[in-house]
Amino acid sequence: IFVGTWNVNGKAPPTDVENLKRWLNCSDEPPDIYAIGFQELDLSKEAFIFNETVREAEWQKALEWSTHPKAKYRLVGIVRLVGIQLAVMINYTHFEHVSNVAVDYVGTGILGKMGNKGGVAVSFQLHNTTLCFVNCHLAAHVEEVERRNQDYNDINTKINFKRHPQAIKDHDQIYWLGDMNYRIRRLDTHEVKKHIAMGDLNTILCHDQLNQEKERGKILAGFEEGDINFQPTYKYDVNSDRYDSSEKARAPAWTDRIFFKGKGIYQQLYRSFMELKISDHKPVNALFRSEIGIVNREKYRRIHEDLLKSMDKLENEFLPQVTIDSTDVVFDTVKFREPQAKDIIVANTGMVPVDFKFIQKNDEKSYCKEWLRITPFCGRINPGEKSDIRLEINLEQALQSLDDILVLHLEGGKDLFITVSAKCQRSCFTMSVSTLCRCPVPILNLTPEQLKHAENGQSQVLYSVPRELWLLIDFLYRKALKTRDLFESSALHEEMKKIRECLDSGTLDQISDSPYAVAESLLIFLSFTKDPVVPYHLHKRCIEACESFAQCKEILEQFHKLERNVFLYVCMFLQDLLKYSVDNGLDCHGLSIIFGDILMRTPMRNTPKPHCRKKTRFIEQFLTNDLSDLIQVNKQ
Amino acid sequence: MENMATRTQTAQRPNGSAQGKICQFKLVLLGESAVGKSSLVLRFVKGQFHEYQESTIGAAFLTQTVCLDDTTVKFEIWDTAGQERYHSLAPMYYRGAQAAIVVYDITNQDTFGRAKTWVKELQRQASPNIVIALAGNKQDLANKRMVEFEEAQNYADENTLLFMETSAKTAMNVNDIFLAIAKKLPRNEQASGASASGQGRRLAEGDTGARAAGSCCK
Repeated sequence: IFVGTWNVNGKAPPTDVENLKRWLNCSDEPPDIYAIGFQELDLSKEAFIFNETVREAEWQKALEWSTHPKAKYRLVGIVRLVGIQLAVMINYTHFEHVSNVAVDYVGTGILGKMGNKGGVAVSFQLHNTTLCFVNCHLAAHVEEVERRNQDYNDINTKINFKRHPQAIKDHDQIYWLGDMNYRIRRLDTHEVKKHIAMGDLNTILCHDQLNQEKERGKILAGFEEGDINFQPTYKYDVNSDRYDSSEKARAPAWTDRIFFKGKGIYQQLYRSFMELKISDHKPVNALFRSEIGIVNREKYRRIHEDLLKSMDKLENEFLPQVTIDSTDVVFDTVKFREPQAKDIIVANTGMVPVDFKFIQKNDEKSYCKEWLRITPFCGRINPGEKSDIRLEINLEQALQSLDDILVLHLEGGKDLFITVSAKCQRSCFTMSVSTLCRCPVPILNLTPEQLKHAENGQSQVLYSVPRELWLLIDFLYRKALKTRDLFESSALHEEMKKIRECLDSGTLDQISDSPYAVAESLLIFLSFTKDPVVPYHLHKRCIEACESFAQCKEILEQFHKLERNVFLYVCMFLQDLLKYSVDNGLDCHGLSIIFGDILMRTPMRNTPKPHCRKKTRFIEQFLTNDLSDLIQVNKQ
Repeated sequence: MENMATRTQTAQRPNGSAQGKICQFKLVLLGESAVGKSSLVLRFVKGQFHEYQESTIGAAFLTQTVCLDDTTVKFEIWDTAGQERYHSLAPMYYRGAQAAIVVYDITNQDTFGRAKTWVKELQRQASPNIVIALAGNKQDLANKRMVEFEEAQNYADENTLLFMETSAKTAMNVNDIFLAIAKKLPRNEQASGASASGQGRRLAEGDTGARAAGSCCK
C-alpha cells in the first residue's frame, strides 16, 4: 500500500509529471493500493465558500497519469473537504474484492463545518479486511498544540460511515496521513537549521510537538509511525530546497506525517520527496506490506455447513414434544341432554416446556363443535409432566352422530389431531313438529324408512299436534292444574330422563310421578323442537303487531298448520291453567314471559331486551283473549 | 433452553462472509398414507430410517438447513397426516407454503392417482407460485413397481413439477429433491429481518394468508 500526503499550497499539478511519477513509483513492483492525500488543494475563496474546485479533477488526472506503469488502477473512493482531498485507488485486478466503500468528512473550522481544516476518510473492505484511510489538515501555528489535539480528536470520533464498521477505530487497519501541523518546540529556527545541516535529526525529533503529544496520550493512541530519516518537510521557499527565507523565517518542522494502526502492517519505506518543489511543503510517502484476510471459501463453507447442521440438530431436539394416550376418543351412544365426559392424558416427552392449545381448523369459528367442551383448552406442561384434558359432550340437536377432529397445537412445534366421535340416539326432543305429527309409533320404534318419510314430509299427518306434546299436557291437565310453582321448580335429572325414555320408546305406564318434571319436560320439548314454534321469519311482524290482537291473529294465519295447532294448543292449556291461578299461583304475565321466550326463540338464543317485552306481549294477547273462533277455524 | 425452542433467529454473518443470505421457506409434504412422507423427512433431517415408521396423526414439524452457492435455505417442514379423514385439515398446512412435496409409492398405482389429486388441489388452492415436487418413493422396491417412471415423468413435465424417484430407505435422491426445490425457490425477496418465530410461522388463527412468500434475511 502506497500512502502519500502532500500539502500542495493551492498549486496546480506540474505540467511535467516526471517528478510526480518518480514520487509515486518508489518500488519495482506496483503497489496494490494508492492512498494519496492532499491539503490546500485550492486556496481560493470559491473553494472555501462553495467547496468547488477545478483542482480536484486536475490533480486526479495527474495522479492517474503517474501511477505505477506495471499496473492499472481503479478508483475506490475519493472525498474532499475544501482543500483536503483523499483518493484511494486499487490495482484493478483486486477491484472485484472491494466492497462496502464509504466516505465521510469532518470540518473543524468555523462552525465545525466550513473551513479548510478538518479530515476526510475513505473506508472499504478488501476481501475480509476492513481498511480506513484518513487524511487531515490540522490547525496551524506553533502555539496551537491544544487546538490541533482537539481537531485530531474531533476527526477521530466524528467520522461516521453510517454502516458497519461505522467509526474509524472499528476498522482492521487504519492509515492516518496528513498535514498534522505540529511544530518543533523550544528550538529556534537557527538551531533547527544547524542540526539539520549536521544531519542530527534525533535532537530535533525530541522537540517535535507531535511526538510529545502522542507520548502524553493526547493523540494517535495505538498508532505507529516509521522512523523519520528525512529532513523536515516544511517550510520551503517555493521551487527550491531552501527553508523559509522570508521575514517570518518559520522554523522547519515535520508537519507531514503518516501513521498506521492494526494487525499485519509492515512499513517498508518512509520518506519525503525533495524533487517536487512547487509547494512550500515536500510530499511524504510510506510503503506498507499489509496482510489482507482472504476467506478460504471451501473451509468457510464446510464450517458454516457443520454449524448449521448442529444448529438444526439442536433446534429439532428442543422442539416441543408430547404424546397423547388416545388420539381417537369414542364415546358411548349419546342421548339428548345426557352429558358424557372422557379424559385424555397429554404427557410432555420433550426437553422443553410445552404450551399447548386447541386451534381452529381452516375457517371454522371455534376450535371445537358446539356439542363439545374441552377443559382446559390451553395450558403449559413441563418436561416429564402430564396434563389431563377433559372432553365433555352434550347433545341438544338432532344429529345422527357426533364427529370432530381437534387440532392440538404445540407452540413453536407440531400439531396433533384428536378425533372425537359418538353415535347419537334419536329422541322426540329435537325433532320437528311436522315429523312428530307423522310418526305412527314412538320415535325409537320407527324403521329408518318411516323416519325418512316422516322427516321429508312424505308420509301422512296422523296427529294434529305431536303425540308427545299431548302426553305431557294431558298429564298436566290431569295431575297438575292446581300445583304451585309449576314452571319454576326444577326437577331431578333422573325423572327427566325417565320421561324422555317414556316418550321416545312409548310406554303404557304413567310417564312420570312428578308434575314438576313433566312441566319442565314441556318447556324443554318446546325449546328444542327443530324449529321454533313461531316461525323465525315471522318474529319481526309478531313484535310489531303485539299491541293488537286482531293483527296478532292475522299473523297466526301465516303459520304452518301444525305449528299453528301447537301454538293454540299450548295457549289454550295455559288459559286453562290460569283459571286455577288461585291454587297454582301462576299469573298471565309470568307465563307469557316464559313461553314467549321459548315459542319465539331465536337461533342464537339471546334476544334483545325490548324484543323480549314485546314477545311477552304477543303471547299475552293469546292468553287473555278468547280463542274459540280460532279453534273453530281449525276444526273446519 | 426455551429460547432455543422458539426459534427467534437473526441472521448473523461473519465479517464479509461468502454466504449471502438466509432464506426461510415453509415446505409441506402431502400424499396418501403410508407412502413414506415421514420417512423422507426423517431421512433428510436426521439421516435415519425406521422400517416401521408410526403413522402420523397430526402435522409433524422439523427444520433443516441446506446451503446453496450463495444462499442458505432453511426449510420449515410440515409433514402432514396422510389418512383420508384428515384431508380437510391439509389447507392449514399448505396455505402459505412456498414448496410442497407430493409423495406416492411406486408400488401402488392408487397412491399415484391420489398424488395427482393433491397436485390439482395445490394448483387450485395453494399460493400461485408454490414450487411443487413429485416424489415416487420406495424406489428400493422397484421390482414391485406399479407406476412406470416415464408415466410419472410425463405427468410431471405436463404440470411443470420437479420429479424424482426416491428411497427413504436407501437415501436415494432424498437430499437431492430438497436441494432441487431449494434451487428453484425464488431467493430475491429481501424481506425485513428474521421471520417466523413460533406463531408467525403458522397461518391459521386469523391470518388470511397474506404473508410474503419466503423471507430472506440479508
